[in-house]
Amino acid sequence: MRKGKNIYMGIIFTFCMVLLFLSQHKIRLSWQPSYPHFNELITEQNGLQDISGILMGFRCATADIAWVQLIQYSATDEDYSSTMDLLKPLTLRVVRIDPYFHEAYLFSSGILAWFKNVNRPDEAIELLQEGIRNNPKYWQLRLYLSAIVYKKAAKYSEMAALLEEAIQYPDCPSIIKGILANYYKSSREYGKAIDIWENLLTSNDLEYKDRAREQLLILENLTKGKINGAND
Amino acid sequence: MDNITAILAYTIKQHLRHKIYLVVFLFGLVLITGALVISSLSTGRVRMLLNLGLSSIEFLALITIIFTTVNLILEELESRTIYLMLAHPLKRWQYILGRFSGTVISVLFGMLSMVILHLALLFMAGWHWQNYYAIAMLCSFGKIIVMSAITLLISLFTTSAATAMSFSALVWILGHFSEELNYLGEKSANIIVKSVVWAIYNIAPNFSYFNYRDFWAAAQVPSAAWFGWMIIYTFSYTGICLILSNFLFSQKEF
Repeated sequence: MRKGKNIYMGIIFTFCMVLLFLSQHKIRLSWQPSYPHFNELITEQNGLQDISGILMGFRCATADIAWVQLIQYSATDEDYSSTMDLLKPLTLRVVRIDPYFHEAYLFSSGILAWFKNVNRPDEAIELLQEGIRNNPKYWQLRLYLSAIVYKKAAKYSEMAALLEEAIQYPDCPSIIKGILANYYKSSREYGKAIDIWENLLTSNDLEYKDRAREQLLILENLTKGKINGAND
Repeated sequence: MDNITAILAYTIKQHLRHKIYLVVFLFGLVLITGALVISSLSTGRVRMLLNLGLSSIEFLALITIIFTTVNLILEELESRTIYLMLAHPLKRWQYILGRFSGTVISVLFGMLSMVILHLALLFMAGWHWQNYYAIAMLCSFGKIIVMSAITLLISLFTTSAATAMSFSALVWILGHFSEELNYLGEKSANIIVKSVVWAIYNIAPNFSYFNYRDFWAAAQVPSAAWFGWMIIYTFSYTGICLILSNFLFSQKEF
């Protein structure tokens, strides 16, 4: 009786083993998640935090924590008057943990390319190229890349046209909208700048809501001055 | 079948009354709500709320499954209540299957209650329903089922709860490290290292396959057939662990 039961269990066990190896083989052949290896991670002094997060199976949550640290770094200087030396390595840290984190590429390349005091378009291009390699179908990255290339070639109207297209998408970071609005302000296209800041005023981004209020006041004064100047 | 159902119902009742189960799920509610605070520290709030919530749910399910499964049979052996159970006309495999299913159902029930809270928070934050959430949760359930079967097996060949918990935690880490381990093995020139790594890679569960929440945004997402193979993988791995657990349990003298 016991021997018969053991044979029965043995058959089920063998069947399960065959199914396991077959499914494992099929899974590996058809699709495998692709992530940077541990030696490609840029952990700075946060190696333990990043690697333990990945090993526990919480890759995206670990990238999010690294993202908060990146935001904290970029927000320490509210006027963006520093040169943001660590911005690229901190962004690489985030995107090497989670290569599909689109916002990280867009946010950091925006600061690196368009903030006057930072002015590191080459680093922005490197970040975007890595982003495109990891996310070939996420075409907004190519749009940003083109805009930066135009900026480098001092073709500002072409750059503005591309950014104008980029800000139409809901996942476009507020920082890019702010950059375009400031460009319009500097090129004295106040109407277009006002439209963008008014749009940011209705967004959920609290930081940019405050900034939009300030900028709208400034732009109001500027347009009044322009009208008065024209009347005189 | 009646025997299995009776054991299953008894196990669910036992777990729902267990202090650890309740404490962990209360802690889960705090952790998911805490994700609200962390997510407000940066831009991309919804993404953070989503990722931290999904990770918290899985982490707490892991803790629950390790604590409850390790003590599932060990506690009954120590308190000798197992004699009462096995004195009934109950086969040992029915006991193992009933206890395992009861534990998995009670943990999945706990996960579902956390999912409801998580979804409520997400909707309040302005998130709109996307099907990948359901797929990510199903993958997470699959991972917890496999982990539960492995923990049960480990608890039957170790003698203390602490050792079983440590081993289970190691398997969990190994399951997320296996792809990297395989990469290191490929780089090695030593044939022994290569063989050992190959064996571990093929025997240890590959939990990174279950982390759909990490790769749903990838350019190349898996096909429907891939998910079909994943279901077969989950149930065959669980089946093997349960058969081995039954074998170890049947070798024990009471």
